[in-house]
Amino acid sequence: MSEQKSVEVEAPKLEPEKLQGLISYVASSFERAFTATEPGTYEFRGAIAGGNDMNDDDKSINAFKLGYINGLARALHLAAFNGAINELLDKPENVARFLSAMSKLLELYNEYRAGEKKGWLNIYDGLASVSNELEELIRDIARQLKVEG
Amino acid sequence: MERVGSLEDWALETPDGLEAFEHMSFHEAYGKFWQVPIFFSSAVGHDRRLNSFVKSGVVYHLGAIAGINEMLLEDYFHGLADKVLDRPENVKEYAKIMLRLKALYEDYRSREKVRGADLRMAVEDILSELYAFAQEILNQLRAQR
Repeated sequence: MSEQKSVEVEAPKLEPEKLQGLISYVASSFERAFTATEPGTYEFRGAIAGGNDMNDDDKSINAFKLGYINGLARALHLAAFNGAINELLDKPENVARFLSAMSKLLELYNEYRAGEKKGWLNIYDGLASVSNELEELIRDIARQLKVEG
Repeated sequence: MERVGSLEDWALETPDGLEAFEHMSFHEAYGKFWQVPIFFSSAVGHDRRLNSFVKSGVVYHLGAIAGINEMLLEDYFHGLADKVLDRPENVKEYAKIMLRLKALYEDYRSREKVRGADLRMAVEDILSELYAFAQEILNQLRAQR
């Protein structure tokens, strides 16, 4: 009987430069950008709730901020879906701003899950930065729409 | 020691009846309610009767209510939806939804026992109503453009 040898195969690593097709696809419309990133807020909330690095008050502060970000994103999505401002939201620069803000959130989530980022204030600061960017995007879109009349 | 007004006291100063909102602008009505989700989430965050998952679920949805409120305010202030939001029927509808949130908050504070699932569902219902209200505002805005 021949001896079986086990060979360890290293899992392929994701290389960002090979993901350009995916990035371009997701960035081609607000709808795609929203669908790809929106669930992250709720998942992040669950990870914080199940963690042991914060007390309940601090978990709640971050859960509120995550919900707030989700509310802003959903409101934008509603506007896009409704057709009121979809052309404006689909402009590459606006989709890029939305994706950039949400990517920050997902990066923070990944760092939290990996244990690289801990403590309620570190998380809160990161989330505040994301919500500021989304608020600014909403303001700019409202201004652009007002100008277009 | 002099008693200092709490956040909760401030929230309770919001009018209870819809008639108080009849002659208000959207901005005035917004001013009566914008902090309610914050007070509510603060109370839930400190509540020892609820576990971490229930608390964060309820608070997350309260945060989403605050987020949609913020979007409405931005559209109001930038002159995009001010005329639509100021329509008396829209101010009244907005006040009706937010009065429900305030009533839920007061009911929650007065109860000795709280069922987390019921609380969460009630907040989610109000979020859905606010979302539908925002949708209606966008419909009216589109019809106007």
